[in-house]
Amino acid sequence: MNTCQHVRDQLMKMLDDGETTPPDSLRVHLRTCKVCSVWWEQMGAVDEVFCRAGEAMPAAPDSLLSRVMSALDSEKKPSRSSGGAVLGLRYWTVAAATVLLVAGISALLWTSYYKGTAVHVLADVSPMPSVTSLASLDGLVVVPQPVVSARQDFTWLTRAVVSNTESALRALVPDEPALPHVSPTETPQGQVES
Amino acid sequence: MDDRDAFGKLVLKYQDTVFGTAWRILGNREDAEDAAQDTFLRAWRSLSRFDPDRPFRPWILRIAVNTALKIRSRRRDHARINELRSIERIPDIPARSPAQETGCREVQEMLERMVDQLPPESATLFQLRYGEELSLDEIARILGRRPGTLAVALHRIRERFRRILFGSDEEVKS
Repeated sequence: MNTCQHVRDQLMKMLDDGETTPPDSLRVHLRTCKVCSVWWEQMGAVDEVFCRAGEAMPAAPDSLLSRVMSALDSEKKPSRSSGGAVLGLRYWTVAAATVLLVAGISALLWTSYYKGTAVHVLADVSPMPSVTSLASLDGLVVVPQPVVSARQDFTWLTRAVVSNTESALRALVPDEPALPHVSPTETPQGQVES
Repeated sequence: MDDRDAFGKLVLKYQDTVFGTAWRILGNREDAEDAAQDTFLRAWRSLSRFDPDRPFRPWILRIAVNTALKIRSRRRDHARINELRSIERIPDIPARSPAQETGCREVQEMLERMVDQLPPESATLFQLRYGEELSLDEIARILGRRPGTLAVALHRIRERFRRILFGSDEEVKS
């Protein structure tokens, strides 16, 4: 930064602080530098004009006080009644929040219970195990731990139960004509396990 | 003396400060009156948040500035401001400076036009510095800015006015 710029910055700071008489260190430069000297004179004039413009602000109208006070009177003062209203509002808010909370908890509990039921467990499980494989474990009625989507129907399960019931009946009454056969190997997707 | 009466005394004491600041930012008497009234009402409502250990003037000025800036941002009718400004002339500048050579009236009118054209932030800074004679530190606290930033802005305003009133440094050299 050159000397002139440095001096001008210092002079500006002086004006910021409301000072108009430069210290000797700056005055030396102003004496020798005509450009800065004229600049300072002009800047002083601007500052003076600003000060006068600032002082020349119009006074507040006489009516302002009465306007403010009458507006103030029409304001709702923070009295007991309004406090009660605020409090009443709070009560309603708390009541509404409580209802929502209870409803939320109920929904959560119901969902948990629902989660414990088959339909829900079924909803997010893995591929459907083959009824055949399950049945082969004990050769009896197999109610597979069904793993089906809630969107899927239970036709396959019905068929498996019917089929196993049929087998059991057949064992008990071997001479009876066979019941219509429904393959237990059909999956809900209609695929047949090999 | 109840709260209302005490507040009335505060209004009486600070009404010129609040009104003057609003007038500078808004540029006309009508809006400045509305802003001043709003300022005091807002102050009344917020009195419970005022820290009595701190000075009241910067607090009320902060509300006044915010209120006036909000009103100004709502309306852009500068033609109306200029029209009303022409009625409320500032007093003649005594011929004590080089500005007198260009003619006081001319300088005054030029200044008015220039101040009219100041953006709201600069008009606010101008008013707080020259109208309220606050230091940059005090203004910084009111406006929530850094003093250094305000100093730069103030230097630019002064320099801009100087160049318009007196010409550039090149002209000084010649």
